[in-house]
Amino acid sequence: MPAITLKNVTKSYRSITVLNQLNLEIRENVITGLVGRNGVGKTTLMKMVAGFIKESDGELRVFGERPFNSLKVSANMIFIDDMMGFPDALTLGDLLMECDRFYENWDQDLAMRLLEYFKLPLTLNHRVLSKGKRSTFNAVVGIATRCPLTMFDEPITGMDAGARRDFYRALLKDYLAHPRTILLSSHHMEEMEDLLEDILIIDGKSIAFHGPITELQEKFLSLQAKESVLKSHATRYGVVHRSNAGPMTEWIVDNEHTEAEVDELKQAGIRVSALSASEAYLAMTGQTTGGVDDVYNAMERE
Amino acid sequence: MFTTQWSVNELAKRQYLFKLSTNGAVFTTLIVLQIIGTIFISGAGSTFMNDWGEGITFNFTSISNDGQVGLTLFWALIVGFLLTSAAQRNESFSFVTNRLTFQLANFYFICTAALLGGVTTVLLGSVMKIVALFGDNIIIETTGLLTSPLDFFSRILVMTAYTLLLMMIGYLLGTLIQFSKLFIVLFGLIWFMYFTFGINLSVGEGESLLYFYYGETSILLFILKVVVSVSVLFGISFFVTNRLEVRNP
Amino acid sequence: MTILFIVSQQYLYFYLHYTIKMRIVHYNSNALGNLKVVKFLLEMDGEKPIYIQIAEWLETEIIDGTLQADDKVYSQYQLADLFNINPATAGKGLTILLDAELIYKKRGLGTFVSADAREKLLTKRKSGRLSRLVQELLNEAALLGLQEEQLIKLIRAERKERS
Repeated sequence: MPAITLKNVTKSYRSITVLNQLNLEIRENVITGLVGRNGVGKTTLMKMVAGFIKESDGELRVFGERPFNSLKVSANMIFIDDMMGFPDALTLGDLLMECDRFYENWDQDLAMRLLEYFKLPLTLNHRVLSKGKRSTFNAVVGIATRCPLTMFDEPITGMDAGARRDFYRALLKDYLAHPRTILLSSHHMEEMEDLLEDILIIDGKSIAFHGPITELQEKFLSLQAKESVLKSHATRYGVVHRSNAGPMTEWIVDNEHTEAEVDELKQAGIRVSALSASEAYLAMTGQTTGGVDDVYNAMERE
Repeated sequence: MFTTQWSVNELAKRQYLFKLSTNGAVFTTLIVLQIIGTIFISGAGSTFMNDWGEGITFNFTSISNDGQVGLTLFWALIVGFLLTSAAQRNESFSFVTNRLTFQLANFYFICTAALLGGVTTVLLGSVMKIVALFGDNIIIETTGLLTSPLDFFSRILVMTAYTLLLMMIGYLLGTLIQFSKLFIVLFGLIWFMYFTFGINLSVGEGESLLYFYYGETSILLFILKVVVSVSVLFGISFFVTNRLEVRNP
Repeated sequence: MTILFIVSQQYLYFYLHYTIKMRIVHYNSNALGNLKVVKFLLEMDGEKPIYIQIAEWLETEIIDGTLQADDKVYSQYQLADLFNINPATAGKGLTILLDAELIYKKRGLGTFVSADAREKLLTKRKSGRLSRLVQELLNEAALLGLQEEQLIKLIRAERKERS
């Protein structure tokens, strides 16, 4: 059974549609990365799955249960983000005790050790933490609860490079020891892509890609050469993206090449290389550089 | 797969304990208010002199803890209102809950606070009598725990019932405002009309709505009225909150 | 056996170090836009998906004798932990070797190196990877206008320096 199932799920606030007719199955015990540009509805999707907000239309199931008002979903799920509400009256140590009260799989020992490692004294108040420290604390809670469904929405906001690396490492190690369904959203896909098994790209209120991350990596090839060379040899391939800055021209093309074709391209002096998943994602959602160049070029022309 | 399964009761209990530990300020506020009330308001007892001639003069002073009662009821209204805040909801939903257990925990919390409000307010009356004894006074008429225990406990019961009622009113107002900000306008309008045009909130033949409660002479009927009112208020709040989205921008 | 293990750990360290260096260059190229050229100067055949890198690393372990015939191969979870990657990705690296029958599965015990794995790999690399490298060498030579004799001279000089 998939962990999360969406059938024609739509979410709208009054007249504004945030997510439109989503069909989706998130596999159980898989780490899925959730990416997309600002405001495409990643957080909305996670909040629906968490049961915080209600789907406007369609059928949403988390382990077979409708999450809105489901005690079962709430008890087996945790949603971590930087807007999480924690009471002012409690210290970090108190908050850990509350986690222990509510989550059956909670590992108090792990949580204490991680907080000590990240230099977060138990006597501190959540309110006085800096943005990065708060994110770190929330992330530790997310890891130590060991919920069958764990969701992180932009967990690394404000963390320094070291803390980010440690968080991803801790998450992976804990996942290896205790496999569970993890949904992870971030704008820094290049940092998290090695951690992921599946990737879900949301673009324009709907799903642009969903599948194993290796599939995304194999979807495109990067061809680099002088523009004239590319024009004479590579026009028959579907070009997803062109960029011209620098001495070389790069085309990102659909990867439907036979090995002989790749050899032919190489012999013509074209550099052929695979794309990382994050490069493929940027190309798919039109976020590669050159996009903003067009704005300036257009202004110069006028 | 799901590994954890809670019963509604068990989780409502845990959410209630969570509320107790995070809302300690509610109880300290009550104590501070009552201390303030005792110091500043209770001095205002009414005194009249009676000269019987022959050089004997009696000073009759009747003291009451009406001031503390008023303060406690005001506190109750505010506490009920504040329990519906978005922050309270977000904090509960950071842990395990649904809207049912969240509301049950709120209800348990309200009952606890009401009981505490009722007991302390009535006990303050006794405190004031002790204070009065320190002066050169003789208490000639009183009802206390020892002289009439039934009366003493019924006062606690009645005070608790009023506190509970006020809290539930505050809770419903808060809930409605959380549901739609338009209710702020509506309540403001009713308030304004009440004071400007003196439109009486009346039931039946000119009796005020409040008389429905304080005019009741049978304690059993009074308790019944309060229980029914509280159930209706909580029912409406429950119905409204059960559809409320959490952390909705 | 102990010595072999230490060697393999060291090798791993260098490998990881190298990967990280590659990745840093890679991030910069993202930040600065189309500076991929820089990346290409550093890695001749472009960055490969990580599961292919893992498959190649395991192949190299077999070729250089770190992993002998019938030795137990790292599990996908060990690989995931070592390389800091998702176990499914590591598993995909192992699948490549399984498909090529370089390793085999024993139910409940794990995966082991096939008896003829090293032989197979030597042939494969000679015909496959080495010939591709030669092709690329010739491409580069053609670009620079180098004659065959000059190329052979270069190779001899390089070999001499190494020995």
